[in-house]
Amino acid sequence: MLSMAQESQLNVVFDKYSGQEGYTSVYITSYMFELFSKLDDESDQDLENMTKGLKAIKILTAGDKLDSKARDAFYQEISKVVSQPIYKDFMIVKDGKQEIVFKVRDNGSKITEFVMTVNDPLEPVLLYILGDIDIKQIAKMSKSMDVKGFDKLQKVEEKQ
Amino acid sequence: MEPLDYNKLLDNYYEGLTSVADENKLRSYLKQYDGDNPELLEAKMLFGALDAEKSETLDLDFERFFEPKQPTKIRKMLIYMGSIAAAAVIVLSVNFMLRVTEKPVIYAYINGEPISDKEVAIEYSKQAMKNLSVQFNKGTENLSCMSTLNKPAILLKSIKQ
Repeated sequence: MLSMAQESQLNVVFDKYSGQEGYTSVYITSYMFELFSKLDDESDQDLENMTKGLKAIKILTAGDKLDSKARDAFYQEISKVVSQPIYKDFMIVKDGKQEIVFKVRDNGSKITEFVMTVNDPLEPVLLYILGDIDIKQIAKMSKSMDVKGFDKLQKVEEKQ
Repeated sequence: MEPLDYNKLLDNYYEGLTSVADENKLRSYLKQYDGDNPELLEAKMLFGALDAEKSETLDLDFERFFEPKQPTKIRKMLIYMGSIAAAAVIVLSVNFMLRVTEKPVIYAYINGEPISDKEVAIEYSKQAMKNLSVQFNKGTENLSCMSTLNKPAILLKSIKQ
């Protein structure tokens, strides 16, 4: 019940700002992932594998048309939601003034939510993935997008 | 035996009170009557006309009107083509109705607006994943010593469990 309430809170934040002036929202539905599963091209097999089991990807950003106060308030609201105990820290990256936080939520055996928040003074970002998520999928997703160094993360998992 | 009063018999005939036998008697009498009684002469003409009509024949074949018409080749063709046209109209109408009522598949929502265009949705999907990967890159650029670090591995293990 708590999980259901928590998930709805993140969606509530998304729905609150989606379509509002100054905010950009992207919501990729499960139909998109079903489309990927119908691709015949072998080179897209990775894409199909990584999107299999996903239900949605949602992105919300506060643009520079908003004043800094609004952007700060937006990030604070997101942080409040993902600071709940059900979200576990996955990775925190600090890059100058920017802080990127990765969090996961699981149901004991599987990761059901993967969240990324970017505390950028100019453009704070919320990105979260819902569905049946495998860490390998995330690793492969990044690999296919030419991620440097993340293949090491895969090797570490394989050793476990 | 008193002679038959043909005037009275004629009156009865007009009244419809005569039998067939009486009628025949009257007919026979009037056929050879050559008197000057105007009523009898008029009746003679009437009976003569009726007898003439009786002998007339009609050569019209009524049976022909009740015979069913044999379908001609053209008629058969028209019926066949009409059936096909009717079936085609029904199929096209049903198909059109289904298409009109069919809801478009929504692949994405951009700022709350539904996107049914596959190409556009695919582009946004790729951008979203690239966005994620760019941020991942920032966190994992210098992971060459990853294999010697325990904390991330432990974290992964706990997640896996």
